Amino acid sequence: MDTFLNILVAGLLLGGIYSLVSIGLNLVFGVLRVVNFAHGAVVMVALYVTYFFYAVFGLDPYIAVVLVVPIMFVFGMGIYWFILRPLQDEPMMQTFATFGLLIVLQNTVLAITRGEPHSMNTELSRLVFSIGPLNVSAVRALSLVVATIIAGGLAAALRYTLTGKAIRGLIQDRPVGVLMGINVRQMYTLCVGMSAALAGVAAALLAPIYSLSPGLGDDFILPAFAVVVLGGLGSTMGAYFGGLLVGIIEALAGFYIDPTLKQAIWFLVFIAVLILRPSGLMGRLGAEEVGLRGNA
Amino acid sequence: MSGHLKLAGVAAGYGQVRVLRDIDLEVPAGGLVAVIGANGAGKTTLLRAIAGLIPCAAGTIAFDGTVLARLSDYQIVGRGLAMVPEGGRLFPFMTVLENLELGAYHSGTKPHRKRELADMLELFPILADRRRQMAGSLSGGERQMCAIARALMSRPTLLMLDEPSLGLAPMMVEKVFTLIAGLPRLRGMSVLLVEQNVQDALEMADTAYVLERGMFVKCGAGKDLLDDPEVQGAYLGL
Repeated sequence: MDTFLNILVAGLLLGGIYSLVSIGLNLVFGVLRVVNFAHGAVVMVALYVTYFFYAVFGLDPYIAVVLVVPIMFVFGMGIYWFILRPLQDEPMMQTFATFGLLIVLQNTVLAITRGEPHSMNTELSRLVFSIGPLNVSAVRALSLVVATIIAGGLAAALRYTLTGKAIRGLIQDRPVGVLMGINVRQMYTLCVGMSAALAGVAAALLAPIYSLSPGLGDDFILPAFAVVVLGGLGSTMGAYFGGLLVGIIEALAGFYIDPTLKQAIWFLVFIAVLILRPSGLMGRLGAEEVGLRGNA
Repeated sequence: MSGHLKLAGVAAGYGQVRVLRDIDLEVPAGGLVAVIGANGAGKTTLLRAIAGLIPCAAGTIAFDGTVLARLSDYQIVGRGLAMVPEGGRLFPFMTVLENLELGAYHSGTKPHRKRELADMLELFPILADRRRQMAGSLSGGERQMCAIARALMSRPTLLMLDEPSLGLAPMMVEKVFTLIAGLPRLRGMSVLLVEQNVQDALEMADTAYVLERGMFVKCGAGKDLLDDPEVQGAYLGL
């Protein structure tokens, strides 16, 4: 029983990281209808930016985050402005372009760092709480807490602020959104920027846990796709709970079935969800199409 | 007085397909102008071109002296030009209240938002009852009311309506048309109405245009067109 609970907690904490990455991916997908294959690579870039502040200025990743988040926000705005916006009438091309961006980012980082692994071990990264029989890594617990706060905060912002309502309006009917006076480019810039800024937050939380390599993003982007489908396309809370679920599935499958099969197993779940409940746990059936309604 | 719209030699369409050719149209400040025509004549395209949702291939559209082509699509509503699209096109997964709030999204309305919202809920009591309900769950008539209220939230000087009577029960049609006919007097705005319901549209319009295959073939006072034998034959089934 203790083993089971420990695995459950480990899965939950892993899921918190998946949630954080998935929320950013889902924001761009939900609003722009672009599958951003480069999102994992953006997390990787954010980690290297964090490492830069750590290595050059000796900043702790948890402190550097106040610099990394605005830098990544601007980076995200750049992705929209220079890559997605010029292709805005060709949704298919936008998705291919993000795949190209993934390669460019990986290769650029590889060229700069020469592929040497780096890590940022802080005091905190070895800190483990014991609650009864449970062992909880402090940094992983923190990432779950932060993911929870961000998911709740973003969902509330989308629900209650005028800008959030405008973003939801664009998701539901873009031409009518324009009739209301919503500046589509401005909102898209904001969303891609926020998505990258969330990758910056994720980077700070991942810094004490993962060692850096240019291919690091792949560890997150594959689960994130499963999470987004599982949780529901375009739903922030869906991405949050989906992330936790995928983390738990991965941990349980890794222990009870076979560690090498853990990813195969959540992909089976992913396919099962697609067949049984295509709208995901919290998504809306057809929501992935509403945004494409082109005429007014 | 503002709300003056003038189209001169406008052509528009989709890609290579020209839907509208050589359109001249004027809506005077405080006037109610109707455009009538059959399905596929280009009525909706006309409104979409004015609202900036599709570009003009030729000609100019001026609103209170501003050439609209110089503005970005999203800036047009801020100049006082609002549109009620066909079927209302509410944001289906947002509440009635949220739809109304988005109607007043553009920054010019900021100081008036609260009062406008109160006005709208008073003007449309049914919306006050349904304000927390998802817009997608409204009936056809309520949806049309909500769409008109949403457009009015932007404090327009010209309101364009695309087939507001479409799909409504006859009693509801009368209600919606009474409301529209009263707008110029009630709120001092001009109205450009596009309709297939020719009888009602001509009865309330100061001026009406007949659109056929993307061109205006007739123009005159609403009452005169009602008596026009060609209009009677083609649109009124007389």
